[in-house]
Amino acid sequence: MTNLTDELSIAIAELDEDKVMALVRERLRAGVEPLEIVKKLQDGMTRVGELFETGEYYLSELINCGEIMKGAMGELEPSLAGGEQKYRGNIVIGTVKGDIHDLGKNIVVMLLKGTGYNVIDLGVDVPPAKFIEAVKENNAPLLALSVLLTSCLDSMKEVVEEVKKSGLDVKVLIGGPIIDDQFREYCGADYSSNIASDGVKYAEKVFG
Amino acid sequence: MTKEIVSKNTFKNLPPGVCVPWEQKLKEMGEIKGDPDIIKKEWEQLDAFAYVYIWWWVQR
Amino acid sequence: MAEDKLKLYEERKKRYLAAMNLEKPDKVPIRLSLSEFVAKHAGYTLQEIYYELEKNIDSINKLLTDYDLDAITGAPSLWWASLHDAVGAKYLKFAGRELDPNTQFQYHEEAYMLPEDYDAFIENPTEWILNTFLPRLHEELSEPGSYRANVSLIKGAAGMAMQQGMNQKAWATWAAEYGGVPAFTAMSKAPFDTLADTLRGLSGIMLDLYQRPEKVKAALEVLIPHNIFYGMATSGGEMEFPLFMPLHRGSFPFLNPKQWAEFYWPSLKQVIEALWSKGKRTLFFAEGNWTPYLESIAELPEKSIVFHVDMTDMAKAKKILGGRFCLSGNIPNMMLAYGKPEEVRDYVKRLIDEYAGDGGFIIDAAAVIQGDAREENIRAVIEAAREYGVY
Ligand code: B12
Repeated sequence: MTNLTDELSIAIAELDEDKVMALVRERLRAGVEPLEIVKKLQDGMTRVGELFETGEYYLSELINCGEIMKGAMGELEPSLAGGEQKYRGNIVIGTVKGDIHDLGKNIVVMLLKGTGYNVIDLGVDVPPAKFIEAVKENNAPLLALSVLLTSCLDSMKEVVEEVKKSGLDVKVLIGGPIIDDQFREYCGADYSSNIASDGVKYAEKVFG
Repeated sequence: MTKEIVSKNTFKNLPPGVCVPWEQKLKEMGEIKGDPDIIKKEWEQLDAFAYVYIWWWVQR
Repeated sequence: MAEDKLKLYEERKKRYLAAMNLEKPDKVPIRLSLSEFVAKHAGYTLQEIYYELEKNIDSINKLLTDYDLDAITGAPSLWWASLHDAVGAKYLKFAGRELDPNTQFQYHEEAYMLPEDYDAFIENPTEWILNTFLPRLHEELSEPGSYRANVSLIKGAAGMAMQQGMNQKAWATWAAEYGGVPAFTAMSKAPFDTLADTLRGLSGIMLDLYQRPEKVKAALEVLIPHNIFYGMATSGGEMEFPLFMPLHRGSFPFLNPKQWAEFYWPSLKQVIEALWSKGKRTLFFAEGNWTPYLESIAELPEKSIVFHVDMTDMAKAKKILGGRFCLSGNIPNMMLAYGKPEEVRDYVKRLIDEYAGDGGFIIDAAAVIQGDAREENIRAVIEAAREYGVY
């Protein structure tokens, strides 16, 4: 579990919106590197993700945290422009065609962003061709798919098959509450999980 | 997305099943020559239908 | 009503009602929450059943001819796409129009109610919905008072009446010609879901819990009598069968325990208790996982609900709720779609062995059964339930 020492990281982990905004402004004024501030925010968010996994936080806290983060980023944006953020790598993610559930996927996105990946989120109801296009365009070594509807499992299988056929050098991670090993084999994906933080675990594997 | 459509409510604290209360309509009708209960019953029945239609878009 | 069908209807009804009253019927009743599967079985595309009421209804005739079900949930599509077109409802996308002719409809969730709407909503929700909410939700109504808007109101209300009339006629036919028994005869929602599903949307409500909790509470308070009334109005006076209540945002892990106890539960409990005091039971369709809340649910009056198990821990549900409420559900939809008939049979047998012993149990899938379920697996559920489910 992450041990937070920075005041800003702790404030976001505790969902203290006023304090987060005050600290962000204060640090900007004091001339702290904007990217350094973002890093602290991300550490706090990672902690929120962990608290969700251990059952201490619920979706309500996650969504609230996401909103606080949005506000803080809005404050930082003008000073961020121009600066180059260094990412650990590109990951394409989306909910498969026919399915519009995205809460679980959004958590995975948040955790991946929090740990420093550049996440290309294609949203929901994404057809296979769009996934492939995005993987190509971004040269992404990892593609993550989410599904909740059993009726869309075949649509997920289709994406995996198309990806494998395309010969792209990309690992595929599938996730969702109904996903298990049996289905991973059936659809030929590299990894599978129904826990959001596993997104980070497998990303570490792929990006080393 | 949402266009700003602001409106003031005509009525306050209406019970469920009511769009335009009979008491209001009764005042507007003036003299009723026959049995007002028949008119009231029918008014309220159709009013409740409108109510269900309105809420149908929310209770789903 | 043909003599034999009438007998069948009465037999099934007795079986179904007995289970809900915690009695031991002759057999474990089978009630399957079938939706798009029915269209596939009848050979209709999803566009056909979403758009054409006749086909939506006719698909059940084929279902009832082929399968021995004690209770059915009605025509596979709840929504009539044509009516949505008539008013320009933005909330749903349907097969054959925005989507391929054989795909599941889609929700498009948005915060159609804004934070600043709370006061007007609390003051008079009915008027606020018509004047402010519907013009945002329905494209045809976007200029209230205009010709298009006026026409759409006529079409919308007429459409609802038409749909209700056809459904009513259909139920009479299903009963008379196939002995088909309704699983429920009314519908309502948890006040928190009313607010969180269609009005504020999920992100909206979650922020409200932190930023304007008092408004949320006031809105929930206002909703309680409306949700009770709506349930009674849609029951049309029928009191033997339960009311359908699909429960969304109260499942784990949406709200933390404190929020659940403060915002979700009190208003829902009041609705269920009020319905029960009027003689209407609630089919508590607990979508997702409700394990952490079972103890609170056990506070409801005995027999006032049927507790439906999706991903809730079945053993715990039995331990905490068994003997108080009838239980239903739990057959994994994944298995119905991707499993083998033998697996399904084993699962049904185990369910009956472990949970149906003293009555108060209804066979059903965990979640709504969509087009991915296999015919042979649905058949396996019914055969196994009939084979092992005799008391
Ligand atoms: C919220 C919800 C909705 C919302 C969606 C809002 C949104 N923006 O997502 C709305 C109301 C729009 C909706 C619509 C529908 N829904 Co819905 N919905 C749910 C509900 C209640 C919760 C799902 C959820 O968000 N859970 C919370 C999140 C955080 O959990 P999660 O998704 O499992 O994600 C976790 C893990 O799985 C994992 N994870 C998820 N994705 C990924 C990806 C990767 C890569 C990794 C590593 C991990 C990972 O991480 C997350 C955190 O741990 C479920 C029932 C339930 N309680 O589960 C039904 C449910 C999923 N819906 C269902 C259905 C049928 C529908 C509808 C078809 C209509 C209907 N009849 O209700 C439509 C579908 C429209 C469509 N085409 O998609 C069924 C599915 C049944 C089936 N046979 O598959 C369910 C199970 C309800 C039921 N019991 O019938 N729904």
